[in-house]
Amino acid sequence: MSVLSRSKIIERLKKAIDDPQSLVITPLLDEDFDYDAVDIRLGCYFRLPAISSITCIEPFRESHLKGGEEYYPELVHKPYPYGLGEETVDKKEKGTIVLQPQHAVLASTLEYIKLPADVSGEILTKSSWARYFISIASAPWIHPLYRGCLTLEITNLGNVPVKLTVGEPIAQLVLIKLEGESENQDIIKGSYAGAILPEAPTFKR
Amino acid sequence: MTELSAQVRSEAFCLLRLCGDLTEFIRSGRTKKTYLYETEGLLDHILQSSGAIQTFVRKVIEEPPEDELIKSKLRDFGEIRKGLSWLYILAKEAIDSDSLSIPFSLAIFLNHTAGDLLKPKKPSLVVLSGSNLMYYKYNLKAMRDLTRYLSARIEHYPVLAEDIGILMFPYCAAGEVLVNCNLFHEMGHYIYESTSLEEGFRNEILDKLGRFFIQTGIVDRIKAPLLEWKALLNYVSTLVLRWADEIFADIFAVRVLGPAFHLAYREIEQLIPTTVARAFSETHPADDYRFKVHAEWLVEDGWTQILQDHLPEFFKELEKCRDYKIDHFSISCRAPSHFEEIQEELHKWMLGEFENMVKKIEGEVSTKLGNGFKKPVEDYNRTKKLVTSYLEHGVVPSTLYDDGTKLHPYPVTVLNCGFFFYLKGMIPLLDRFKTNLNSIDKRITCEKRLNSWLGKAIEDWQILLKKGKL
Repeated sequence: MSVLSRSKIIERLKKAIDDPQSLVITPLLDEDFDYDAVDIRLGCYFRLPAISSITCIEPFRESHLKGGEEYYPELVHKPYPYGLGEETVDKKEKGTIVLQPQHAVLASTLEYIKLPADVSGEILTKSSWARYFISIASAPWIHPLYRGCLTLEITNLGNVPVKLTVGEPIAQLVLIKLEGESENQDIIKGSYAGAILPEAPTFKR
Repeated sequence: MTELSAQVRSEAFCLLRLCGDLTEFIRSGRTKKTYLYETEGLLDHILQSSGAIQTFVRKVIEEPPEDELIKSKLRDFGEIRKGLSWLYILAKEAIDSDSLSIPFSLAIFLNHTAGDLLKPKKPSLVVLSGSNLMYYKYNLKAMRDLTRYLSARIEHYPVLAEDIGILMFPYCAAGEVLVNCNLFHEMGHYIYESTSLEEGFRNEILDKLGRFFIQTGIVDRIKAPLLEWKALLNYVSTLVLRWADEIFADIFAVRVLGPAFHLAYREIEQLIPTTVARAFSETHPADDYRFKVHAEWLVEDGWTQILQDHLPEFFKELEKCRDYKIDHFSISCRAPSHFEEIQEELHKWMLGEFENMVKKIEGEVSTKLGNGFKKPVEDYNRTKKLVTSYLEHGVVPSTLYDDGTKLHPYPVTVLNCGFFFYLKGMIPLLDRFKTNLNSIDKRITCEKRLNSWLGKAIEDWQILLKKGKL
């Protein structure tokens, strides 16, 4: 296994979509990314978990197997702060969400990604955010051929509220080349494949 | 007089309560203020209105007006009540349209398009969902007139801004991008308001109608009271002006969106069983007439071959509609009872006059789109294959690579490719999902995904534009 460098990432981004080695990250707002990782931004959609109305989450209860939406009663859209030079403070403020201490929220990434057949991915918290005790993913591994906006489980592990802004880099995507055999057929697998919004969990028996 | 004064006080307390309720209602926004920016603007306006009314009413209670003013205050209160009930309805609809049910990316693109067309004005198109199975533009004229009346009497009462437009879509279409292309037709009504066509058409039609009555001897033939003649003038002008507004909105939407609008209209039309293909109704031109106009502009704007290739059956139907002449159509309404014997003659004349108006409307749409209007078919032809291929691979088509060259398709291209894909190209995608093609559930999931990818591609385009990346 080896980590893809910037030049290799750019090479794969330019490949035709029907090439199994092609990589998609869209929209890629900053092409001048690190040598070994791509910055990933906070997207516009958030799924807020229920806090007081649920006594206990039971993922394998028959009625919950198809989806746990009831644990996430609210889907919220925060607009991307549009407008070069024309955005008002009010407009900018609308694209933010405040995360209270010890609280968590599901969020989508701004970027939609599609991994190549021979590459896995790992999503990591950007170190500056980590120093505010923000953790963005507890399930950071992404399988080859996955496509969709990534769902981030953002948690504020600190003692004070933290304001998050839509469109700002919050995570890094590290791409790792697989050794040996890889899937040679472009199939879309997994319950969350192709998702744009952060989706509530589904469990299978 | 003392009785009237008591009446003023009780009315004033009642209005205060209403203001309080309205304010509370807006502040209880269930979506935690995650509306579109434009909706926030509308709600702010309503809050300001209710604040100004509260101050006004309190003043009336604390400093009772002079006797001679009491009557006029009562009249004002009546108008305020009317205003509050309007505001309540608007606020309720704005709040009910929570963030889950607004096609965000499309609504933002609508505002972007309207902004481009109406420069230097900055239009605010508020998109709200309603429980009716229909798309419509809220008629704000009466509301605007009322706010003008109140602002002359109440200090700090805000006049409803000219640039606010409220477009409604059916709640059941929340999350749909393709069928919500119908919103562009509603935006067309908003653009129509900014032209002087309606006033011109009204004067013209009344003038011509008078001459028609004289030339045909109808004035001598029909003995009817003056009020009935007025009703007839109203009948003719209302119908023809409504059709003109509708056909303007249609031509506008077809020119801006191409086949995507026509196909979106066909999607919603299937759900409305009462539509009559060849008869003009009280509110709309006949469907086949609208299709004839769609077809003419689709040809003019270069979509013919594309439609023929992708949807030959739709194309054939449109070609058939193109051949219709105005005398193939009828009007399904009935003229006022005194004029039944001339109804056929009158309806024929109305249709003929309407057809003359269509020529002017076409010219005005072109003027509104401006000389710099770039036909969307050009971008479509450049990127259609790539967009379709990205969709087949389950990827949002916002950044495409063609031989190493980066392209960002225009949202209209995304919508058209998306529609053709939805109607004819889903099989490769379903195969990729390893889906049983007979499973309706799976197909619905796939369609939902497709709609969300298209919405995301439109949103990405706007982000890239604003970031100066296009």
